[in-house]
Amino acid sequence: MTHPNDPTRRDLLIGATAGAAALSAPARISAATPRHVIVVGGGFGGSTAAKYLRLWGEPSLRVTIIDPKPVHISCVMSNLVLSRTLSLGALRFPHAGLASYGVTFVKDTVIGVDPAAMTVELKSGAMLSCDKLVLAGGISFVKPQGWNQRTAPHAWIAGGQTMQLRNMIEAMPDHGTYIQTIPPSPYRCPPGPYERACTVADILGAKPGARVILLDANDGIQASKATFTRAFNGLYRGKIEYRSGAELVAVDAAAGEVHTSLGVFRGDVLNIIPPHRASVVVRRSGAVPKGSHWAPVDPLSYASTVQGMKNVHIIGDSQGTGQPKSGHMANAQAKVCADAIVRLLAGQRVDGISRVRSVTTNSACYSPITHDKAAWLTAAFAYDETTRQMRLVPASLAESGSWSRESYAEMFDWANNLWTDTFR
Amino acid sequence: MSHGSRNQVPNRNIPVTAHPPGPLRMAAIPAAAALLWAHPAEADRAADSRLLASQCAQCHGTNGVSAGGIDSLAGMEYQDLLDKMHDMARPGETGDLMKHQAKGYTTRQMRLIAEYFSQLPKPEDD
Repeated sequence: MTHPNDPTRRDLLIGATAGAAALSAPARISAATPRHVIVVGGGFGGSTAAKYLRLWGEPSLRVTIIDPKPVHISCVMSNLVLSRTLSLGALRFPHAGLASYGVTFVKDTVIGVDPAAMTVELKSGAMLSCDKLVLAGGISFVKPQGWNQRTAPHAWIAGGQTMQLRNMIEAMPDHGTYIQTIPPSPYRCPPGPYERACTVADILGAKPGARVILLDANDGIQASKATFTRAFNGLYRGKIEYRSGAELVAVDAAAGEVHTSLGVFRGDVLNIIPPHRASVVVRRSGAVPKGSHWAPVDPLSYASTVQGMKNVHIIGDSQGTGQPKSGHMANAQAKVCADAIVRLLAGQRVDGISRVRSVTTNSACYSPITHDKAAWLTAAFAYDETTRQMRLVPASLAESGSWSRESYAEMFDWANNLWTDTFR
Repeated sequence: MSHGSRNQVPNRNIPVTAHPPGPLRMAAIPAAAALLWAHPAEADRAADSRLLASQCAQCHGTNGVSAGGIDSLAGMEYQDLLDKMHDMARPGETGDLMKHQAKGYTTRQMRLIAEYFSQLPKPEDD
């Protein structure tokens, strides 16, 4: 009688929550209990999943986003806050923006997930139950030795960190040195660190003798290689010093030192982007196996492949399919996940041949290279029936190789459409 | 050949214009088309085309209605949209983002995408 799918128990659990009025089930119009999907995290992945579940699901499908913050701040375009091209306010997207689709927002922190009972425990003490759970928590960092984000900001999750880095750049002395580290792949937004180096070098153009040292833990540039190689060797020659194979060992912000496998580098501003792993909520759920940093999923549904977790779906930066980690890709994966959940709740398969051949994701993005010119990068991914993984379609992978005013203008249209498809 | 006349679109009867405007209208169409369709194969086809087409929305807008600057795809003629995708996907076509992105899709996928958008109404301000 206490089975989690028992309607009585479900309603008791839900009725026990803070804000119960908003969450209580609507009047029954059929014998079936309305299905409930909980989405943890209201970023690009979570917001898209919630919106499309309401667009595509049965009208009775209940969708709840849980996020500790009332507003998502977009990492996409956030390098333009450093140059004061955009204000942080332009990147703020309230989770309540999806209320018009019928998505419920609960401001709280998830402290526990029970994949067997399909319950989620919140910091407020409430316990919510659901039929499907979508975890879209983004990233967390593996802390380097001696690192403190207040003295050496990452600014890789947009918000206060972005403002802090902007202030530090503006306060940097003439002839000063800006050091930025790049974590080993996979990390969020493959072209992002190189884009940031260009943006900062452009800002520092106003300061005589100021320069950027870019310390990459990887063997080489990870995305848009031709474009960034050209920028570093040409436009920003003498302004950006790029070093590959520089693994971060420790940070001493007081001394202005970054210790790496290539030696010690000294700078006035340290922008430390540490190694990434799956978000805290995803790791605590049990979806990340020991020894791994990411959650293995079936890319037909983004359901966890960890035993006993088939009703838990992981999308965006925390999942481990090997697709690039970015807001655009999280949006793409969220739609495949939402489609799968709608079909699964209707008792349908997600691995029929026709659907399998319709599962695609794609990436398209623009990177500012100067204050008025940008570059672009694109790729499409298709489900591979042999490997059962997403596969890059080689002919679709391309970068602009250069930068232009036209692409700079297109960048704002791209971002606005991506934000609108995701948050509005 | 009247390929663009929508007669070849198997699920053309989706009552897209019978709903009031706004988000709930968009919600109602695809859900009904995908899940309540009488013939399972046609329901599958509608759902598959919806899933494929949704991957265009990051740049071209939810249900193909752009928020600005980039073309809306909703309400385009089937053959016109299919031809455009085919043209961009030609091996010699390079130098533009979409000319590369288009190379990521099979002809079957392009047909399903064109089916989906050609059945939606054109945006009012288009």
